[in-house]
Amino acid sequence: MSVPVESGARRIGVVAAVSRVAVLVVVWVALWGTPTVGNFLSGLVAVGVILLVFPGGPGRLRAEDEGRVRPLAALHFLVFFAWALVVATWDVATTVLGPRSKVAEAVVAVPLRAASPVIATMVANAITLTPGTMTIEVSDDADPIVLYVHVLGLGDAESIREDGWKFEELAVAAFGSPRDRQRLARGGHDQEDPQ
Amino acid sequence: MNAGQVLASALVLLGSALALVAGIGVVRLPDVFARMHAATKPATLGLLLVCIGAAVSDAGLSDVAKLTLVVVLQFLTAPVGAHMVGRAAYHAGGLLDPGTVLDELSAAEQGRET
Amino acid sequence: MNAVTTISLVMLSAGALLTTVRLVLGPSLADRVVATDLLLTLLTCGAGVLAFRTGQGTYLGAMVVVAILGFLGTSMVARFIERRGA
Repeated sequence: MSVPVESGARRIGVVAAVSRVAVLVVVWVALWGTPTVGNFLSGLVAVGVILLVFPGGPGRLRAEDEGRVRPLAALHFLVFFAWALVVATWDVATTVLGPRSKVAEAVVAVPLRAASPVIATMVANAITLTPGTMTIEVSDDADPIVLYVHVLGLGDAESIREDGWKFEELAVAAFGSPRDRQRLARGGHDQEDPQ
Repeated sequence: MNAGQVLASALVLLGSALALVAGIGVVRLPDVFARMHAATKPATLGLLLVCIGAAVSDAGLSDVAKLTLVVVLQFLTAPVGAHMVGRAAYHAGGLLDPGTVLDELSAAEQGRET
Repeated sequence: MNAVTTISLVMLSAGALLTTVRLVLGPSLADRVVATDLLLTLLTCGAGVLAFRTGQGTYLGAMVVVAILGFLGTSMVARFIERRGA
């Protein structure tokens, strides 16, 4: 299945550029602290200069990897993530304050089923901030993207992979592209029959 | 002291306690990677709680905006920073605790080389 | 309320002291980066507690700056380790 990347990339590029300007202006106004007209205008000028000096960024994303944000699913992702962060902190706190016993450390491979770098980034960050796990490396090859996760207090490696996949499902449901949704439904392949 | 201030005080106290846990963890845990677990998770949640506490007390719009910015920045940068240092430390070699029970990354890299 | 912030600041200082121990002990450069990063996070927390204690917004600007610069430093040293080893 080939996607016309060229035209798609340019169209998405406009959306990405506008949202980038919007985010930076919001940051600028937040720094000044008061949402006045002057702050918005000076923010636009400053952001324009910044983007002239530092172009690049998400414009390099391929069109087939571009997803749409679904607010409810995004909220689900955030709530799940927030709860996982609390559990993670409790876990690490008990490990730190507990008796100096042997902590089983490990590096576990978590192959992702989605192919988009956006999803991989989100899952990697979520893993880092949740129970006893921390992403230390991402595989170079694009298919499949493999996250290597350092684990503090390993139970078994399968459960770590399943936690990662749970995050992946939520992230794809919230921000995934059509291609990633299909891949997830097929268990991580672009084609219906991988062999 | 009204209810808001009690809540804010509790949040600030809890947040500081978590930050202390992070400090203890960095000293007690056996290797860099374990210490990074301690430095990222409790410290990030601790900072979040302190910021919410400061925002709840009696802050104006401009204060809340800045506190939100701090929290967002911390949540974006803490995992990325941990990933960068972790990756660099792993490839520098010899920093994993000898008690590490499983290393699928080194297995994968050896498989690629042969 | 002053008692609360004093206890908080004492806890943060104790955390910073312990982190400094790790910063001095090392043993690797990566350990020191982790310690420095945590030290800056603790500093940000401390500024937040002070803002809460005094009700002054002046500390908040410092918090934003420290949050950004902390990441800048961490990523730079991480690149250094990547090239030269820990």
